[in-house]
Amino acid sequence: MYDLYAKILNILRLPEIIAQLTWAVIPFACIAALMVFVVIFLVLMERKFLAWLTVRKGPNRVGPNGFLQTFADAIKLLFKEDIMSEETNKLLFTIAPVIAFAPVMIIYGLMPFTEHLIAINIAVGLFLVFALSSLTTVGIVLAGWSSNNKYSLLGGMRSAAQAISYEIPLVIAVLSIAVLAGSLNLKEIVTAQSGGLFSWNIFPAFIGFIVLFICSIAEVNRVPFDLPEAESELVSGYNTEYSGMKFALFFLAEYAALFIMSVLISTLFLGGYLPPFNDYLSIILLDNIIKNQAIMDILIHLEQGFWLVAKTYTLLFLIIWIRGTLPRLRADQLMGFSWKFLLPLAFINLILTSIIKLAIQGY
Amino acid sequence: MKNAVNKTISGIIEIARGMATIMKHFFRPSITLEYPEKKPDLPPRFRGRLALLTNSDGTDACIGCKSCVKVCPCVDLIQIETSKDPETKKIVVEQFTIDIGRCIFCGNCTEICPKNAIVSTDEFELADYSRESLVFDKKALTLDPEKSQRLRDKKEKEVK
Repeated sequence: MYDLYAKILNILRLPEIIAQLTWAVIPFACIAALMVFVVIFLVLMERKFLAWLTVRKGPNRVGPNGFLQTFADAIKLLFKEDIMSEETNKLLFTIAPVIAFAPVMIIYGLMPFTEHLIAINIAVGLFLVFALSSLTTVGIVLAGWSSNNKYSLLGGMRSAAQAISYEIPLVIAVLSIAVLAGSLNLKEIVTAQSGGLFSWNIFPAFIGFIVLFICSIAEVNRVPFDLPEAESELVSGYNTEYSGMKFALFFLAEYAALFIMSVLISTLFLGGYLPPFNDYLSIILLDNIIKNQAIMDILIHLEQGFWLVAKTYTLLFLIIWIRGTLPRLRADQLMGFSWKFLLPLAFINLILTSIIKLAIQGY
Repeated sequence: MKNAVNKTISGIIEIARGMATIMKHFFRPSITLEYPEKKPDLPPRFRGRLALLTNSDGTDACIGCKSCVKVCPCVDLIQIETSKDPETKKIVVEQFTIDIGRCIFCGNCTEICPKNAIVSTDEFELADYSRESLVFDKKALTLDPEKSQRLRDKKEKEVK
């Protein structure tokens, strides 16, 4: 691929050094574009579904059926004045949204969206994903602290407490996946689940799936665990003082994290980009019609993308549905639920999956 | 341990029931009324802008008794000027002015009116650019016979 890129630049009479320098930027730019588009339509999807669940119409003014509403919102946010009050810690206040946003972006690069569409394929991908996703909390705490506002501070503190207590059952639930797949590489975890619906990790580790699902909702601060930005008590929590671009960055980070958490759950438990059948649909249906291997590869590649998107958006719909149904928890309920309920459940799941793994493989 | 399991199961059932209820709403038609395009269907007792009715032959229903002026809680809101017709000796309403900008829409005038000449319409979009344009004179308040009849019919229904 690089040779092709260098050749194109050579035809355009650009020196080779530019090709070498810009080659590394291309995946980054693709991820950034993907992320922004995903978030824009995720926000629209959430607003529409939430409206339908509560017997409303939702945004329907901008574009056909409100299709361009979030574009309008995004443009509005970018042109807003960037307000910073006198007593804020300017440096930390500016850095905080970046710290909240950057780790999420790296996680996008680590995800195997399809067999070939993975920007950074490293041996400890799973570990890195959770290391980075907990970094987002640092940004939120910094935002709360540097705003010089008691609501922001309370939001940040709650976020820290919540993230610390939910990280533990989350990681232990994911540990069972590492046990089952025998690897921390996300791509290997996916390929270990090949062979149809019943070889997905959700069957041996169903409790783990539940625990991870609940914890990931808490991890991205969504209803019913949205205490860091509880509107009714904390104005809007850690981002009370933020406006304009910085607020947009927080918003982007939050929804990007929501999407990537759903991708992660479907990668770990629902077979990632693999189909729920024994073989790819395009092979089952079109094997006798299309003889060309190259076209077949492209079809399979597209199908892999389709399966991942289908699984991810099913989970996202579930999360939106939960948001439409459940009320917010109290802070002590939140903590008790994590430590007294999810943590033992995660351990039970780990023991069960280990026993299943032993029973199947015999060592 | 048994207690914890029971609590978990009942919790799951309750959450599932709640989520099923919300899912039922997903398929309902929305109850949103897209206001500027679609107007609400207002009940007959709705108290909107005041109006004067006319009889079927086109004469004013108002007899100039000034009961509404007396009962109105806002001072000088309704201003009526009357004169006596020298031939028929009947009272003729020369001017009938209501400052809708100060009206509190209490409906006292419509209740006290002996001829049901002053009524509340269902017109509620009264925003304007100046206070002066909210002062309605007799010409602006008076409805034509056809509209008056329709309004009377609507109010009749409410009584029954």
